[in-house]
Amino acid sequence: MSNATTAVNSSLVTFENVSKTFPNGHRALKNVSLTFAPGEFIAVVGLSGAGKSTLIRCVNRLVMPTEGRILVHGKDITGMGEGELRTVRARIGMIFQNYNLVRRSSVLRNVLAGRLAHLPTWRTLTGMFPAADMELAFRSLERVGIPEKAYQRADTLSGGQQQRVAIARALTQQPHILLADEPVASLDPPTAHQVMRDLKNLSREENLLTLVNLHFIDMAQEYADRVIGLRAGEVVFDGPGAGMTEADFEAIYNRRIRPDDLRGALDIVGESTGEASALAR
Amino acid sequence: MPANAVPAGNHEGYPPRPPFPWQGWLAAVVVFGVLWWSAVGTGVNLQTLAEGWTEIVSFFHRLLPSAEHPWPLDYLPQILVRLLETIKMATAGAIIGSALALWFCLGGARNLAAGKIVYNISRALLNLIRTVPDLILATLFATILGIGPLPGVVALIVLAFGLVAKLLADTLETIDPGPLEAITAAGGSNLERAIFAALPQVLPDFLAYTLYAFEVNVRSASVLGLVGAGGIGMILQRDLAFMDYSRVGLIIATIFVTVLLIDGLSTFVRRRLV
Repeated sequence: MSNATTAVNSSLVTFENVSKTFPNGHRALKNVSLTFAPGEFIAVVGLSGAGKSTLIRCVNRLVMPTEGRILVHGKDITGMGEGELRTVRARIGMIFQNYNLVRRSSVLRNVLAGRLAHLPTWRTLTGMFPAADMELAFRSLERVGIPEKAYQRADTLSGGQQQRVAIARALTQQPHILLADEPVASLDPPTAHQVMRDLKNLSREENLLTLVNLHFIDMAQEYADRVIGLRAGEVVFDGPGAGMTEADFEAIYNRRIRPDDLRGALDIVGESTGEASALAR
Repeated sequence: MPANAVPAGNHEGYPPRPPFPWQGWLAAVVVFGVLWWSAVGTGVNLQTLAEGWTEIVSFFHRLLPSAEHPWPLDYLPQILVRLLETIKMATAGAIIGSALALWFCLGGARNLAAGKIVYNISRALLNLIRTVPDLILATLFATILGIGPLPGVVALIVLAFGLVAKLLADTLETIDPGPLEAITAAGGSNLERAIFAALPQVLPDFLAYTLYAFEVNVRSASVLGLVGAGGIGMILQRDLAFMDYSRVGLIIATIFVTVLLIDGLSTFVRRRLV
């Protein structure tokens, strides 16, 4: 990147010398500089505590960096006030390991939460969502293959279905960026692969910049266009996922690869899973 | 030989005997000292109590129906009118107080309050409100608003508000933070976090606390009349003043049965809620 203008044009998110030191003194990120382009599907790998979660939470400023700048759409989000930040977050979807749905609310209401930052407060607080937004919520549920669950309580769904509701919530934001913090860590292998495939397809179809935290190296190899390896808060690998070897991962992890670093069960996907990938249809 | 079969007197390998628990004995001495001090200070005298025993028995005897003093059952309709007023007061107080608490508690929950200052002020207010006893509140409002059920209802609103707001604020602090984070990530505001992620999680608790406030209110409302704040306590106080003990007995019995029924019903419903 030669100057600021080219950075704005070619990248959607830019980290400039970002560091994060938590109040307890833990340094989660150390001088990280990265550039992400629209449509990239990126896996962030590393041991737990390496700073994966902090890295992706910096993109929507759920974590505020202590040093450096983060540009989203060319605008520095580190200096933004609450109102401006909300308009940036409006277009950044996020999904979580534990789905983070409101379990007692209906699936539809959970999905509509994706419209909060797009609508005036009086509408969201009174629950008077415009027809267009309701339509959008239903279309999101259709895309993840569970429109018939709209009026069920979220906690009546299986883990895989709940993660799909979370994806639908993110989609309803009409995002440019999708952040996924260990999205498959709580799922069984077939469901995990399905969720990864769904995320990958969405990223393609919507040209979404997608950042996924993973600790399963085989999933990173299989799905990611680009893998970023973190060790103790530093970027120690940045390259395409396809050609990665075990040695690359051992360098990131700084130890030998163990069986539990692999999700596995690739061979049974497509045969034994009851639910066919919704997006593949 | 099993490992636990140690010959008597052989304490080798066992932890040493703990030291004498002098803290416990000290506490006991202090407690009895304070008890003695307060008894002397307030003139509690076992002898007086023993001599007054017959007085106590005869008083209760006069409350209960007997051949020469049967309960005046024709008085019952009047009691029931006042009882209904009491229950209405308790209901209005519980519902209005809880509805106010639902909004106020957001400031008193650490994970939802808009800033530390709001949190500290809200908590201080909640603690302050709950230090004022119900009868003092009722006396205060009766002085301002005049005799009748209105000051009673206002006192019960404050009572229910303090109770529900405190309990709900505490419950809110224990909710799953995940959904809150999800709403923040989607660009939701503080208020939207509360409406979409926090309150749905505590809705059953809120209903249970409202019922509990109603329960407490029925009990309080029964005595608020003693200070002129409406309800069944009004006639209780009047009949006591006229020393009409059969009427007093009947009123107390009615209150007793009502409170018992409402407590039982409310507890039953609350169990199903949570």
